[in-house]
Amino acid sequence: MHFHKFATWASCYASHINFLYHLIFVTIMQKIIKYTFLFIVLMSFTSCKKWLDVNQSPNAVLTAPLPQVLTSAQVQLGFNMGSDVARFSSILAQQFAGQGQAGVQTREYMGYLIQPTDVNNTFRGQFYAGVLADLEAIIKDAEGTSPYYAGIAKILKAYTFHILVDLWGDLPYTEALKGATLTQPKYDKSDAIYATLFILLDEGIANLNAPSSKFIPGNDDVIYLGNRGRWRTLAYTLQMRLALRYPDKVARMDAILAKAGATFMSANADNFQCAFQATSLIAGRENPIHQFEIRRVDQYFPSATVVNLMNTKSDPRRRWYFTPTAGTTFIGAPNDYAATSSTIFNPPSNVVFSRMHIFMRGDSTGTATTPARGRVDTYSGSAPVRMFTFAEYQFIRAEYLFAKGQTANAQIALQAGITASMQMANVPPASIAAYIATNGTLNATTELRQIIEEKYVANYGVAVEPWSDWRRTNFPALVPTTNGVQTSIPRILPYPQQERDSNPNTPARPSITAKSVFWDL
Amino acid sequence: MKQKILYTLLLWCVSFGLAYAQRTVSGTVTDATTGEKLPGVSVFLKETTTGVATDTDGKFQLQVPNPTGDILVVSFIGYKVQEVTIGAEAQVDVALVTDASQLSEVIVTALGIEKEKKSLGISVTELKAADIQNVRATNVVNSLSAKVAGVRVQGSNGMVGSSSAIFIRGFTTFTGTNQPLFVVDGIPIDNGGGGNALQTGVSNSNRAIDINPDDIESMSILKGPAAAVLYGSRAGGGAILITTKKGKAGKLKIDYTGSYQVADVNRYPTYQNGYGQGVSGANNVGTNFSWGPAFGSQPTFANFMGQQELYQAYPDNIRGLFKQGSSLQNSISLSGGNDKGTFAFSYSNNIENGIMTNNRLNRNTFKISGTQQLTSKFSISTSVSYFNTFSKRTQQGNQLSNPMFRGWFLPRSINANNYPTSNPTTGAPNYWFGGEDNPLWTLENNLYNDEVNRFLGNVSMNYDITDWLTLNYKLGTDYGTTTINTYDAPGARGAASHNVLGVGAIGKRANQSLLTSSYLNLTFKKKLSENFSMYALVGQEINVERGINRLVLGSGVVIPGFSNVSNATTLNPTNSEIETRLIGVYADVQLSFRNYAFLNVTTRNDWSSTFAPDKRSYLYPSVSGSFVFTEAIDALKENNIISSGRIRGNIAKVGRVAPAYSTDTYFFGANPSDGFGPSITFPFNGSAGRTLGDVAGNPQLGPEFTATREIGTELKFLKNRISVDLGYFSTKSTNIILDVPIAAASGFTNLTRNAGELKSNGIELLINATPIKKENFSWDISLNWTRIRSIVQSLAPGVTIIPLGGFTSPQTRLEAGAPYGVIYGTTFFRHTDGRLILNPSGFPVVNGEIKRIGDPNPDWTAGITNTLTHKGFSLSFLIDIRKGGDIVSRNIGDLRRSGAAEETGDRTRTYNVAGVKGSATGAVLTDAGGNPIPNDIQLNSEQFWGSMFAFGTGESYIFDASWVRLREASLTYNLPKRWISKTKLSNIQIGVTGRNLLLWAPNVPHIDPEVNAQGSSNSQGLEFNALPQVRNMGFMLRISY
Repeated sequence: MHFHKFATWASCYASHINFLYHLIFVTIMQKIIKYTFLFIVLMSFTSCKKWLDVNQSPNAVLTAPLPQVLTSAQVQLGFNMGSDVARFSSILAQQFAGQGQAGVQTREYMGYLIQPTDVNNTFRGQFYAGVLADLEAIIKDAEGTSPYYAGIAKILKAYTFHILVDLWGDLPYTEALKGATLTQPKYDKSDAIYATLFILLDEGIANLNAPSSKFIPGNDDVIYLGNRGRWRTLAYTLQMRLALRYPDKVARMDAILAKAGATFMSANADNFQCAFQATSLIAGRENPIHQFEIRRVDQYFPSATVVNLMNTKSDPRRRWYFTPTAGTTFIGAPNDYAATSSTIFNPPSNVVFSRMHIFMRGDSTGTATTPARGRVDTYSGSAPVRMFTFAEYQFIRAEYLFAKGQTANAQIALQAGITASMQMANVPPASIAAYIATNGTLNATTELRQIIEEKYVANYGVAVEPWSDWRRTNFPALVPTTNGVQTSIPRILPYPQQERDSNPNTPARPSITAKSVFWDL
Repeated sequence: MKQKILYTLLLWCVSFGLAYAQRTVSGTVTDATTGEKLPGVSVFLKETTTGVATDTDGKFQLQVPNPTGDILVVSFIGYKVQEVTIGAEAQVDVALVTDASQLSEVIVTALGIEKEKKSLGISVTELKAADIQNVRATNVVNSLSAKVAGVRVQGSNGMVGSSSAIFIRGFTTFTGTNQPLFVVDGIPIDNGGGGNALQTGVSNSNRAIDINPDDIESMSILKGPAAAVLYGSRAGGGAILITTKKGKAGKLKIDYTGSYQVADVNRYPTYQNGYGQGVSGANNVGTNFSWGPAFGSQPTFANFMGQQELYQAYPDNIRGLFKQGSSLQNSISLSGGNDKGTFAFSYSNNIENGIMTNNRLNRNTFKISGTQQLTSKFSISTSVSYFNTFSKRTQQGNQLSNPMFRGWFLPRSINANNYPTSNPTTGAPNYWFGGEDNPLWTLENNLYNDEVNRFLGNVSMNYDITDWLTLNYKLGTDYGTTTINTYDAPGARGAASHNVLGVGAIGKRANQSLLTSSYLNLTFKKKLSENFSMYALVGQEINVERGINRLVLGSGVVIPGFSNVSNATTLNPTNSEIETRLIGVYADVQLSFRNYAFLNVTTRNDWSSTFAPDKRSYLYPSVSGSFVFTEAIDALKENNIISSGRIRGNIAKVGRVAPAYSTDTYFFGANPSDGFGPSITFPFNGSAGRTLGDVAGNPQLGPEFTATREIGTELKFLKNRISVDLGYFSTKSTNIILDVPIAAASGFTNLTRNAGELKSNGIELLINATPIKKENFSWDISLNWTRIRSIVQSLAPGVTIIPLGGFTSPQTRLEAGAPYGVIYGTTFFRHTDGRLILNPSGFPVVNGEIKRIGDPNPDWTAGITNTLTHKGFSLSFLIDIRKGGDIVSRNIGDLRRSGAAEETGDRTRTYNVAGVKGSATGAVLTDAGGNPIPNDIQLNSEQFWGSMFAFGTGESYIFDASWVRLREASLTYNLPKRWISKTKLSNIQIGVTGRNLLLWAPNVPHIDPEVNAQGSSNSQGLEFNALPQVRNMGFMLRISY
């Protein structure tokens, strides 16, 4: 268009303009008109748009079927509970001790040096953007059409938030998981979140009780293989675990037990755990605790606290829990940060500690030995990551019955808990009976301590709950690590650095040794 | 609007009456010296617009007015302008004399367009073949080190095939690539790769390594967006144009170049040799440390294998892990042609053996090119290259399979070569004393090799519509396949390539990459009047990039050493594909006034497939100008002091595209993992597993822009004996595309968006001088000096930090208000006055929070090349200077912590850490008056070095990487012509050459600081158990026929 306007205007001028006119219009236009035409065709909006429409990834999908997302969420959850969360909480609860050179993370955790940057991945990638984002996607997709999936996802979500609250206290809940539309969600109080978890569990149960579901979970549900009864049982039993944390636990638990149709864990088959697979079957699907032991050799040992507790009672489970040293003795690693000793530069090479064993790593194909240093690779890696066991439920009952004043019934529950735990570890019946004969009687004034100490041993390898029990009851009596950067045992994790940087609503966390969860009294 | 201005200008130009043709004059233009016919020479009738250009035979035909006495003005780049008065004759032949002051002043700019240097308002530096080839570097990027102002080359290590990063004018984007676009003969090629994983795998190549340096005729470095704007969205980091050798009309030419070089570690740590393996003065066969008993205190000790051996120092135990490397390069080329066409063929072979076992590169390159004048108006040229590069690579990074992970601080009483690497009976690995892989075992058993087969091809067609209007179409492609074979030996404790817990892995990877570019250009070139001439180009680009990756990973190796995936118990195949497309249209108009004032305007519009349809189209312009004041001002002409001078400047903007597939949110294959190595591979229990991505896609995503301003001057003095080129630039990138961290409580850890601002500015200085120039002797000095500051102005709203690379500590980061890529790490508690706070035992206390501990960016860099020539001899050496820029060195920390380093050797002295007394948790203790109490506790050597350089204490691992090094040196001798005159050879040159010959790094002990853990990436300044740099020396031979 410019050309024409210009031409009209220019032609009014003197004759030498003819030259220019000629130059531009005759010569160029004649010769390039056909190219220009091609050019325009190519550039025309429609063809260009189509040609450029290649921005859909061939490597991923925009929507995913429910079963695929459910497996992902469950395995991620099981993995998380055997990963960072397990290491933070089990070192603080002194089920494990970090050793090794200065700077090795597990050793620093043991010295109570848990930094805001240490928890970035756990909080962000593993839980909120991992398990929870997937569960939320399932709930959104399944609600209304596939209630069985929605129900399982809600129960898993309730369990996950219960763990997160126990780890971090106040958290984003009501404004959380809204996607990129709400990038700075507000934080809710820990007790308010707990209150909604009971409701969420009831909703989950209701979903599972629906008459039909478009899609029905099966083997994609790697925890209960589509057994909706077991999910309902978990939901009710989980409510008992949550209720245990309240001062008015007896009333709350009475109410839960009285719910119509309520069922509770009744056998080890009800255990809420994520199965992993043996290397010999398929590599790359092993229990993450086992994987850590292989990859981070000499950093994560059974703690002297749990080993000594079991040694004093000659606990038969030790054979499955720990590798023996010098024949049949079991030695736990001290929870000793020893910052003043020159031995901090000395890896624990000349001290022989028991390592985690079959119970945590799966069947062993070799003889149980404890090397001076280095790792043992003869395990299958197929041990499950245990998150909430039938044995634990028996100890919850014992504590409830004791609080209710029914000490005799409490003792029965205690013994049932010990039995379930020992059976889980494959202890032969005779040894179980012998142990119960010696340790199965509740003694006046030490009832709670006995219950929690037995629960502590039974929950060996279960993330978070032993630490929560200690925070709730002060049992077992843990001695803070020597020379830690905190003088007392931390009672909460720091908020992640990245979350603080990205969300101004993140509260301050001046101290990780302060009581920070509503039930931590 | 722009068009109107342009044509108004045109009107002004055409201010003289038209000539009326009355007779024809024809002739031939030749080079006065060689007699070579010169095509493209402009022949004008003085003071008119009548003129033509000579054809490929140097012939012209021009209609001139009847009366004689008119003057023909004959001008050509590189030659003196000649005026010929026409008599009555019909044939006028002109022989042009070269103009020394103009020589090599024509350089290749964007889209391969040759322009007079003095006309450019942008910065382009051209390197000639000799600048690149005499150093015999395998990786063409390395031959740019310290040669060009504004260009920084950063090697990753000295292993054969390792990558080098190249940064032109600092950083222009946050997390996308800051590497320039590589263009070979007008077609963009892939220089990807070169990044190294932190905890697995080998040292990778950047793919420019496939290019045969002997094929290069010249390289143009287009600095900054203004120079590269015509290349559009891919050239935000500048561009490097490589022009390969073409045939020339004349006799058949054969050139041979051969060289042989040896390579050695250029710097070893210095060690103490008084104390052996142990801890606290006692033997400990399980430790890596050398805090054991003094040598001589006991005759023997029981080693980690339980055998008694002599307790003695092995001063050269580290050297025993290395061997001498070598490089043999042979390259031959044939070229020739006649007046209708030319051809060139070349073949090269390069066999390079590294300084460690199983590190090797074998490269074969073939290239054939030709040009043909099909009609007087239509010519075609084509070129096809084939590269075959085979490499064996060494494991690197923060992992036990890196042979030097524990190697650098081997206890002083251990000779690695004394122990069998595997059990002779069972074949199982013999683990090292700490239950870890023996470094020599990992070299022999964790194998990685790759083979690249790659074609570069292009065809270019030229049609001269008229003598001032040319249509050119160019189509080119870079297609390559890379096959990677990996074998992680069963029993490996290190991660090796696949991190499979020691069960062994076999990896078979096949990658394909395809880059296709098509250019249609219409070029207008005409002298509009005596005073004005114009050059204009309109064009269109179509670009497609495609990548396909396939991997079959078998884990669980059954028969050791048998590397076929059928030999694995578990198979995990994975694949991914990516494709992006782009269309660009552009225009480039240059007006020159009397050949001393130049104005250049470009504009480009891109449509990229990586944006949502409504965000696809974006336009960006540039304006540049150059003014040669010595030619404009009469008083300055023929001046004895100042020979020539000009000023230049530009303002430009360039757009950048988003990564593919960032406009949507996807469900990806599930793969739970933590930062410690454990991970779960899907399918799991029969389910494929899909997890919602952690990064939220964003359909609102638009292009990112880098704007730049630049001003410079170029002055020549004393008959061009001294020249100074001084420039200042500033760039500002906005709307930068990045994955911004958001509260993960939203369900996503990151959101892809446009955010933030990054500013760079810099000063570039180039001085060339010829202090001595005699008949038989000359001395040339070239100095380049660069100072660049790249500052992250802002990230996204509410975001102050984005991790760039590294670990939790140390880590490189983008931090608002800080230089690009600052280093963060663990620190010690300090009193408010800066003094260390020591715990009750006198040890420093590690602070929980990581802080900024360093800046990897140099304060300035410089290169000084001296060239001395005497008759046939030429001695050239390049000194490379880097001032400032920090590096975190894990090796130095390890050497000190472990008691292996020389400085830890005095075990009798005690150390008092300067600082104040504090609590175990780092609180300051005060005296009664409230004042801090100076620390008076003495530590022994082990306590001191062990705590000050404790594992992971980033603060004490940071060093100023300043260096002065003799980067290159070559002495060549051209045999006198009379010696070879009896042969049919035209030239024989012999030479000795070397790279990285001397190093002075005053603030970095033990290592060469030119290493980078993450290779060719934006994350710079991390050294994590790096493999060493090397020194190369050798000789070369060139024969020309």
